[in-house]
Amino acid sequence: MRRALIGIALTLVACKGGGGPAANGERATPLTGDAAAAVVVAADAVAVDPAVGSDAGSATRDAVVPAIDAGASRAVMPTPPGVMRLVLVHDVPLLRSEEKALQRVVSTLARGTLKGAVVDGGDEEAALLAAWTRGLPPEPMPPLPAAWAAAPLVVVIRVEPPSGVEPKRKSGGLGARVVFRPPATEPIYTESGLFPGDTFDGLISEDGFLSVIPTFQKGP
Amino acid sequence: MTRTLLVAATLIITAAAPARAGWRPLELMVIDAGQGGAAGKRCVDRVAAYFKAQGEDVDLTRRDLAAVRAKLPATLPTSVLAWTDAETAALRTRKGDDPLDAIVVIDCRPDVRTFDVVIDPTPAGVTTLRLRAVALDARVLDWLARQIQIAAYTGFEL
Repeated sequence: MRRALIGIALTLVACKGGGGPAANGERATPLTGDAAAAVVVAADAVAVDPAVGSDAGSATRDAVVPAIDAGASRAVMPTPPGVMRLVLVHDVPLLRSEEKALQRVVSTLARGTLKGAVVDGGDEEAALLAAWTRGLPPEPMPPLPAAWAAAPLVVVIRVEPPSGVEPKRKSGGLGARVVFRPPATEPIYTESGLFPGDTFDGLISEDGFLSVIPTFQKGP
Repeated sequence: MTRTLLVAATLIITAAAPARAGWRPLELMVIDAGQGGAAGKRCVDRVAAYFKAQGEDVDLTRRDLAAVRAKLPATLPTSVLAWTDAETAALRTRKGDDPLDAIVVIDCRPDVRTFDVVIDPTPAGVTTLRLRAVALDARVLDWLARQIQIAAYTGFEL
């Protein structure tokens, strides 16, 4: 009897972690990345099978290509041909917690079905993001950076500046997002205005923002 | 000893129950802008179905634009992407009750593969989502619905 009660108690405690739906609307962010994955800096890129996206279930390579150093300049950085380009636009350096979370994104993009290269946004990319998220679509539509020509899909995301002061700064989360399918100069997806602050982990969660990318990559 | 264990088990059972204190659903009003014909209506139906599938977490009210038109300004921007709080403010307020958490106005036109939506979650502004040149299948619409739900939670308070 005693053993049975202890067993029930332990089972319930173990189940408690599963919980019900989030009470405050905060979404769950199950990671598909491996926390123990090798550290990859924010501007690192990973090789991508050009066929990725045409078939979500296709086999892919996990080869790692040399890191792309974004450096101090704000020039548009190249990415390997045929690779989804994930551009992060931020005015201040990422917090350590954001860098760690970004490493999980990079790791996931390196290992999963969906593959892509993560780069720091250049001035031209930042301007493009601003133009498309300021309100109504810009007239005329601005041209795309030349470095995007070989990318099947480009996702541009603003990283909001952190709040608070050292040492208790808090991530501002992710803001405006635009998705392009070059060479079309009109984005296929634009999100602007108020944001609840998505997170890097939210991007790669099972039904997160990047989950739709294989569908977007299929083309018209 | 057995009694002690029973008490302990009861306490653990209580503690293990999902935390619902302070919980309340997200109260949404979804409006079909009605520009997409029958296909557009089916599109909005699919988005609404996603919210219904959230169960008790989302309290959904569904309206057509015509049904709420009298509450809106006489002149409306052609595109819902140009709507602001000024257009939807009157819809958020409810007589004798707290304001709705968010107003969502959808202009879905599957025939030309466009999806525009404005989400008004707070008096501080709106969020707009704009999709072009993508087939509006169930997977994409569910994904859009999730983005809408995330935006609708902006400023959400218990």
